[in-house]
Amino acid sequence: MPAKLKVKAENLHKSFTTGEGRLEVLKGVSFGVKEGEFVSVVGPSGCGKTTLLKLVGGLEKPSRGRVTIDGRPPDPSRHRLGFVFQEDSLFPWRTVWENVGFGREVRGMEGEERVGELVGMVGLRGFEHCYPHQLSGGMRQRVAIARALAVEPDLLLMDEPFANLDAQTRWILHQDLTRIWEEVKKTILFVTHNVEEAVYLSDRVIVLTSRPARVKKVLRVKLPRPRDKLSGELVRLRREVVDLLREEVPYL
Amino acid sequence: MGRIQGILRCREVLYASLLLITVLLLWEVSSTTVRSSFFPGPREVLRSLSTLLTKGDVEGIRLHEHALHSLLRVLGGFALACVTAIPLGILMGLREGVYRSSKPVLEPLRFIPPLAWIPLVIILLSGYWRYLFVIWLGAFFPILINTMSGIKRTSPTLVEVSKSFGAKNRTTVKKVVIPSALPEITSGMRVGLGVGWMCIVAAEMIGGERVGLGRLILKYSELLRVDMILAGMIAIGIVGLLMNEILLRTERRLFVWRKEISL
Repeated sequence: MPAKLKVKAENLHKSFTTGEGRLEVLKGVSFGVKEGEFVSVVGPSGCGKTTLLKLVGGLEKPSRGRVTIDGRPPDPSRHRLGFVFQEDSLFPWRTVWENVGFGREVRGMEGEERVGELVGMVGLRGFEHCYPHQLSGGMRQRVAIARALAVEPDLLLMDEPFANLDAQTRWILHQDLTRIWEEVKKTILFVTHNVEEAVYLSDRVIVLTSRPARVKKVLRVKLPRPRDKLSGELVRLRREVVDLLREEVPYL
Repeated sequence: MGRIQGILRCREVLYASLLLITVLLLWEVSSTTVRSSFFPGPREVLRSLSTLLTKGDVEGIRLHEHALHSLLRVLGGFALACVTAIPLGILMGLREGVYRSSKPVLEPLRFIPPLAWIPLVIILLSGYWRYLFVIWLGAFFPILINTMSGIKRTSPTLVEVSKSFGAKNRTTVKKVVIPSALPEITSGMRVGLGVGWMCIVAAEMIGGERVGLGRLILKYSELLRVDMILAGMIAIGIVGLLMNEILLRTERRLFVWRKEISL
């Protein structure tokens, strides 16, 4: 029996009204994410990846089409979602501990031990009482991941969480994220413009066209983990994705 | 690091005291050349200051009593300003519409100096309300403007984080918007207290009571005692400085999470 669909996006359209008129961002995007699956969305920069993620998370409403999580329209107060944002999203006045506990506080969840466990899981034991400005960029993103995991989400939505990190830190966090994903078995929808990252982490990679975005192709990555970033199969897939993106952005 | 900072700090203290001494010396020299009772030197003013502290003014009211009364009046007006300006600032920061629609009323009011209100206050208010109103006027706008801009400056990402966890608007305001605006609110309070303090002379001009630092210098103005006026002015300056220092230190302690340094 095939696994249950966690996320289902059907014919999503989204446009914004800007100073210069209507900006069409998404034009009929459809895809599904199965329970426990790790799916990445890649596309040319500015193609509407973040918008897509916000639609799935219920932070924005589609202009047309519909998206469902477990068969119902997304609603952050009903669904358990863990959002990880691209830019610095920690509360600067809260310590690491208090940041990780934020979502639990909002949702009225008991159990301080879980916060401690998660701080340990992302490798920040000993930094519980530090403020975000005392941490490096990589550590801050670990806190953001722990904060998202703290509400025991069954769907993690990650918006280029490693985009602003140096290559080395990103590499370490890739391995950590793979480990965490295997540990907690969550469904992950991961948005990135980094092809290597998408192919290395995911079960499937959704390639979008340039704006207004549609699904260009979906690739399956049938490789066991832990993966080798330089294995032949992975490099071949990377090439394939890059070629697809080149068709969209010729000067890439 | 600590040692270099220590040396820099020493240098700062040295320069500051050199400047102070130079100013005092120039003052002393010019007052001895002019030799007029309308131009007392620093030693005379110091003597008057100690007379005020020990024996009191012409009515026997001592300097610290004057200071205490002024302080209580300012704190009263300041408290009233906080209670009115902070909630209004939060509301105006959250709702663009409230700000826009109140703009034609609030903005011109902001540029009427407290001094310009005095004639009206004399007619309409009496007793303690006169002090309260004039100081409230001075403190209100800095607190309002800072609160509003602090609220507006909340990072949209942080608000989104809160929403992504399913937080209701009220929770988001309480847990994200207000904490993020708190440093600006308190710095608005500090500025407001300073401006309120600067309105003390204006308030005491019409307040009626014989006690208060503003009253003190007005009293001696009638007696043409420049030395006493200067002593009173210095007292006003010192009390204001001390209040600002105390608040600044509290702010620094409260907002250790802030990278930026407030001035």
